[in-house]
Amino acid sequence: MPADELDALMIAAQAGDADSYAQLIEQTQHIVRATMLRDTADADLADELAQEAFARAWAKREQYRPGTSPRAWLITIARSQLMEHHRRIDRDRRHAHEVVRAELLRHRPSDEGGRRADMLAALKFCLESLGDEHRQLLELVHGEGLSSDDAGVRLGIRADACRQRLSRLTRKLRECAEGRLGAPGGGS
Amino acid sequence: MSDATPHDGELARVRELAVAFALSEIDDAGRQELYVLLTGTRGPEMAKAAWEQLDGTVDLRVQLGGPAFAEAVRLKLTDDGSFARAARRRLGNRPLLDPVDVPPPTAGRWTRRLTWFLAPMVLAAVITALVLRSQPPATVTAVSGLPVAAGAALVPGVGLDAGSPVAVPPGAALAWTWRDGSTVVIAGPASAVAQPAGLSLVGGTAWCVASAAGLTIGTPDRRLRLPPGARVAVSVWEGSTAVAVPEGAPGFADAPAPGRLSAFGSDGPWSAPRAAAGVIAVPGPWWELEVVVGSWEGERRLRLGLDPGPTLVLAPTTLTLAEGRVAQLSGASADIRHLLLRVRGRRAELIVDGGDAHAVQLAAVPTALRIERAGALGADAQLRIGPLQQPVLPLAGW
Repeated sequence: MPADELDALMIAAQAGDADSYAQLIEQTQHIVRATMLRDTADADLADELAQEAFARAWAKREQYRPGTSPRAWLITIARSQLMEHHRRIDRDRRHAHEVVRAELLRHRPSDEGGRRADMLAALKFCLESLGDEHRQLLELVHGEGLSSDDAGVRLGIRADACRQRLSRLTRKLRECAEGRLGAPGGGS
Repeated sequence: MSDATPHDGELARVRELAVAFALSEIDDAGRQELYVLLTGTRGPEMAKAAWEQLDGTVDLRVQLGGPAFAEAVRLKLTDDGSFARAARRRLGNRPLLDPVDVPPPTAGRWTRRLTWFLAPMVLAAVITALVLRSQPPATVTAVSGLPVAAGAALVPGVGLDAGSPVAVPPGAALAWTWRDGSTVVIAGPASAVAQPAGLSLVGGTAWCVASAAGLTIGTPDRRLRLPPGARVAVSVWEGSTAVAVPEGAPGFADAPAPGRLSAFGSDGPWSAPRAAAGVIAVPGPWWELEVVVGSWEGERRLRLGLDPGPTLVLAPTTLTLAEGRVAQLSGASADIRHLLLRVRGRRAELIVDGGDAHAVQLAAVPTALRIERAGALGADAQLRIGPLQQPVLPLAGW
């Protein structure tokens, strides 16, 4: 969605229009969550920070300056949430989870920037090409938020096999999406 | 998409672990395995694969779970804290207890009062003795990287059981304090065992400060008894021990033997003329040579000949490790190069400008080093034969 349309949604939200704010969340959640993932290397923490940012942005919506970018404003709020988080966990920074996270951050890839929206569109297409069983596994874990254990019970497979399958599917979908973006007319 | 080679097997494994990490379903063993893969020689490649899984997880969550995310935000907005306030009100409104009458004093009360006075003290002494006996002999005070004991990651505050093996991966470090106040810092790669009044160091480097009770350090080829207040750095490599005592530290009552006792840590920086055609008898099975080349002219080669062993050649853009084995140096042709040659028994490791390590397996432990420079001007070098002078983590009393 173009920046001026997002700006219009945010201006409507400032006036108390919750539906416009819901639309803004729908349109910007990917960039905010993906940016937080790049900053944290932790998918759950990234989602938590993004949710907090959207909640705080609604509470402080009168502070938004019309004509600027809601996307940038939301990311700024999310990053300030992240700084607060870092202050809170400072004493635990040597915890094993934090050590792995730090190692991943050391190798953080460059931001894909404007390619994200195209990637998401390509991913949607690729998801539709999956078989029912694979699609069901992804729905259970990423849609309904089930653990691999619970998804495995539903599908009659072991949790470790479930994670292996998720890993292969994620890779396959990425390859499919990248192939589609690379192909003429891809990503549209 | 089958993973056919061992090479691909590692990548498949890191992807699987990254999925578990992204879903917060990874256990300590998995986390440790992931860390080892990320910090190994193929770390960047492994990290790239892990990041693809992390990115993919968030993309799929957005694609399949977008409404759930919006719902979570809505719930955050509607939770005004009323539940917590109501709960606090309920807990705070508990009715007060009824007052009870104080019983009148009775005869023989002094004997009973003495018993009541002494009994808790005796009980406390017994409990203290039991607690002290059951307490671990040492407590972790600082950690860098991911050291583990008995398969569990170590974090500050964790107790170390006597006899429990501790593994410190390359680049990691660990500090602990014994109950009597002695302290140690261990740098990885290392493996050690905490003992009630000492340390068994199987490999790696440890810096120790003994408390008033002293400290015992055991290595594969020697046993050191540190007197109260002594400070010592100990390195063990392939079963061979080197010990360094910092200047001004309390000495040992008995000269530690067998093994070598070295002062810290170098023969002093030596100048370029000496580097031009120097032959140095190296002091033992492991040592380090650090060379900085300031500028080049003419043939532009710095040769380090290991005797016995290959001749390593540093040029502005290449590093020759052996006949036919040439590594291209990253970056543009640089006038200033920093070379670290680390020899550990029959393994030599070369690191240029702090980049990747190039390993060379040697047929025998070198006993001499020959340095020839052709056009490598301003070369400055330092030979280090003992453990590093400063611990890799802060150590009280060092």
